[in-house]
Amino acid sequence: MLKVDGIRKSFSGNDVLRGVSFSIKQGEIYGLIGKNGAGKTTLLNIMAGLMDKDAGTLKKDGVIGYLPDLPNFFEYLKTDEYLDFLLMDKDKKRRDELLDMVGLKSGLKVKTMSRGMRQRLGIAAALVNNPDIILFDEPTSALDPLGRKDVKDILLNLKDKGKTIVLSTHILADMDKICDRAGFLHNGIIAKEVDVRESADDKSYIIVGFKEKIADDFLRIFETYEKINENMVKIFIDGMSKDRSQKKIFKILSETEYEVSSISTKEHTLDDIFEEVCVK
Amino acid sequence: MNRIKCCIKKDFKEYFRTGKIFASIVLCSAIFFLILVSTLVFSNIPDILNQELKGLDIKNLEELMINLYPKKVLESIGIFAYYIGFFYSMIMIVVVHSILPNERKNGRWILPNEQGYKKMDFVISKCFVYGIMSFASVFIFYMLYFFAANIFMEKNMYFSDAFILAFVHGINLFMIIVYTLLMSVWYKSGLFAAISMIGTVLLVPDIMTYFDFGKYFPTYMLTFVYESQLEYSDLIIPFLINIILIVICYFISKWKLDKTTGV
Repeated sequence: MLKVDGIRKSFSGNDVLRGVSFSIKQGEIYGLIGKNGAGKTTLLNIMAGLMDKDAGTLKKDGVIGYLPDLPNFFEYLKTDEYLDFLLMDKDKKRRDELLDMVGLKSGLKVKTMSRGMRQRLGIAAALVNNPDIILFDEPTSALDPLGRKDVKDILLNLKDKGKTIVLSTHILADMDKICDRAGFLHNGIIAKEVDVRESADDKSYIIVGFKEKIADDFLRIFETYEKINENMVKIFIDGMSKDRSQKKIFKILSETEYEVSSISTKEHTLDDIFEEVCVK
Repeated sequence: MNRIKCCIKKDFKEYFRTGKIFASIVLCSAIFFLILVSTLVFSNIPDILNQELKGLDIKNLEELMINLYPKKVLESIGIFAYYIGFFYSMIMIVVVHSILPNERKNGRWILPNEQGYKKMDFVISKCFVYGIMSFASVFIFYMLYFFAANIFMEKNMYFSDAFILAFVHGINLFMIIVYTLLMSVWYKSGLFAAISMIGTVLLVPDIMTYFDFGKYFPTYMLTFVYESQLEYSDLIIPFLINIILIVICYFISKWKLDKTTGV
């Protein structure tokens, strides 16, 4: 559906992208994660055709729509007029569909709209030509929690309609909830690519504290564990069968003669992977 | 063509909704009343002084006032045209020089660009709308001044001459706006366009009166209206040169915009 292969870009001798490669299937939401200045916006601009690349290829099946970071509109227009302008006054029905889709009223003055509403108008604008692939640059970064939820709902709705979405953000909690896969852009390349749902479960664990010293013989009952100290152990959850694995661990703990003093679970999130890949 | 039509529709909304039409009318009205009232009031000052201060030599003062505020329509309308050419064009240059660079810098062209709009569509449309509105303001107020002057001053100008000169001055302002807008996209900031155009409009017409070839210079169209000349054939060469220069500016703007990637 969308294949990025060896994209390179430099500005005044500074290599921002040094051969970025990844591919996305139809109907997938792909998260592009990276530190500020990692080149996410540059990559999206190249994918949207707004910037030339120095090298590499980009194969796409279908039309691309793009919503830049903090989209700017002609402030003196109203919501319906802005979409009419983008549609070149050709399709009033499509305009109303788009306004419905993003939950905006016709006739609202752009200059009086909140950031969340502007972002929704931006999404409508990016969808004007009914693109198959939509690129979103930090769509939730400037929004309050309610605005972020609205935007996430719209993105999931688009995914249900079979749209392919590439999304860049540094708010990784958003990625956890909506992305299928994520690529970590670091040092100008995709340094790691993960299946978001699997990665979240892969290294999740439970920390159990006991009132007394625990014997290693007892701990061997767990498939993977890591002893923190004599009274505390980190028990890893099997990502492939998360619920079953958790149930099994709790059953063992409830049946054991060791008295449990504390239990806490820790999900392995994209933040952890981000730290592993982009910070350490 | 539909792209340009949609841009023009949008830019007319901009002109009317962002107070530019109001500012334009206020500015033209201010110049209109300033010149008319000054002519009617100040030109009587020597007579008043003569009555109040018997024996005062007012001959020089009278000559000065007649030069500054002539009480004949043809001459007075030239003064009005000069002030319009000076203040209106200067303020309009200051207003328009940053419009396109700001739209571009703020990313307002990105989403329309994705839907098929070309960068030059925005430039052409702005030139048309701002040019036409400036043309209309100047034309209307020139004719209003002609009618008002005919009531209060000595009539020495035909309606047809006033109409043609109003049209020429409207064209002058149209071209000043077009030059400014076209040049404003040559660099990231429109400052170059503003400085060049203010310098050209304010200084060149006066400087060129000292040279014989000044008659063929593009700014002669301004001088022609300021001096209320009626030899219309003199306009042909400066007008054609202006057209050629605008075409050259257009292609430079297109080339400059095309060579920059992105919007």
